Amino acid sequence: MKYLKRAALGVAALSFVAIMYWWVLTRQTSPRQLHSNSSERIMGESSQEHTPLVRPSPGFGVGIVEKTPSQENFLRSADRQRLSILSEIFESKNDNDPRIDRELKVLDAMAKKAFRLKYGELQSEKRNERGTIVFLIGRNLTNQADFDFLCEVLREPPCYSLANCQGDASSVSKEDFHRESGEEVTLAYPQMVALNVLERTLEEDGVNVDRQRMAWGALQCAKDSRSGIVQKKAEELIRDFSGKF
Amino acid sequence: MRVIYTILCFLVPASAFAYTFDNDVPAGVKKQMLDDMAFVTQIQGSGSSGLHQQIFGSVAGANYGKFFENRVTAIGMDSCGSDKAVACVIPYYNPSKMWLTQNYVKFSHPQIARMMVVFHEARHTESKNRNFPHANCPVPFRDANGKDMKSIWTGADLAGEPACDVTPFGSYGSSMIMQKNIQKFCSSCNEKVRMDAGIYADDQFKRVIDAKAIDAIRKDLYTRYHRNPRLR
Repeated sequence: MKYLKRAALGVAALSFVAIMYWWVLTRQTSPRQLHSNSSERIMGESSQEHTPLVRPSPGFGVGIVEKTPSQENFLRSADRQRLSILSEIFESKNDNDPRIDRELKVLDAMAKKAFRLKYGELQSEKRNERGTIVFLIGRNLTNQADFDFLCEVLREPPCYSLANCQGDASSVSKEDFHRESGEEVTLAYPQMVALNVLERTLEEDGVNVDRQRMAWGALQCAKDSRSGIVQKKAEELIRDFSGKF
Repeated sequence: MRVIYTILCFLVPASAFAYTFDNDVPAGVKKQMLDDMAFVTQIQGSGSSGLHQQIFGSVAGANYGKFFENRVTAIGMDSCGSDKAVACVIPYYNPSKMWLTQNYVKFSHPQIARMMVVFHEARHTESKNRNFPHANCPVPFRDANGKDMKSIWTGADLAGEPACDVTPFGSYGSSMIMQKNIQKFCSSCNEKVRMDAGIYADDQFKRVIDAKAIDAIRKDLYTRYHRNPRLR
């Protein structure tokens, strides 16, 4: 009996070790563990290390990217780190990552420029990723370049399918109609985020009038959108805020 | 006996969720679903609206988890009859099974939108409520600007199609109530998630067409002073 008890305890101990090993292994691959030291690595805005900026993909708002002096044609270390965090978040598909409200909350002009370039690199079908960048820049609207970016987003051609924005020949049945509601928003997600950001700016009372004028100007970019949901929302906002301008 | 019980406790891993996955669910889809459910079931809230209390209880991850697990016992893979579908329920085949498609991971939806679809479909499992069938949209079916609501894919009018709800407790209503409460009360959600919840909720609200249902949701979730009359 004594030996049986000892054997049982031994098996229990081995099982515990095996389970702990499995738990540690799975935690190591969890996307939520990847950011453990990122907050320490985000340093100040000046850095000795730079890498060349990636050129934006053709067709996207090249006119918005200002020409800069040669010494500024490199990403700062802090911006590379921010972009790295952003990529991790995109990879994990965890929109509720706390770094969105922390390391990525405040973006200065150089950081916003880096994010605009990242936006241009993303495939059109990456609706959530593109909309996330619009949201992050939209939280830091300070100058005309920011509103020009929103205007550019609002003027993008509609995305007709999450599989292929150019559209596909797949058939659609009446069964699909009840799924449209959410998908229509996703297809226009970057634009809906831009409109949401402009709406919040226009709703502000007693603050920067110039900012609101720039927001009003950017809003006009959506009124002729070929995306029905974008056009409808823009019309609603223009109607609601026209008394201010 | 006590020792054997102790051993069994160590040997049998505690299952995080009560539903099972079919063997043919790809690892990537399963992981995404588990990650998304982990996000939802860890939500913490600072309050909740009356309609939310009736459907889910307070804004709390445990309540969302219980809501889902009380309705869905298994998850499998299916095309759901469309290359655009993300998830579906086939009540006549298995009323408590949810089917996912590859689009669950392929399509770039915000996370809150994926959960909205999942919880919308979970409502359709309720046999005792006739699976909350959709109502036919009204004829004519117009938006706030007076324009006909049309299919984004075919351009056909949605008037008369079964793509609306006449109760706040249906699939559109309950999922938008959940989303709107997350926007207003989720204390563990970041700004992006709360914004997304609001955008999708306001859009889903357009599919609720009964005047009493609209009024009930308006009073429950929207301020009296909202500049948009539908949201007042």
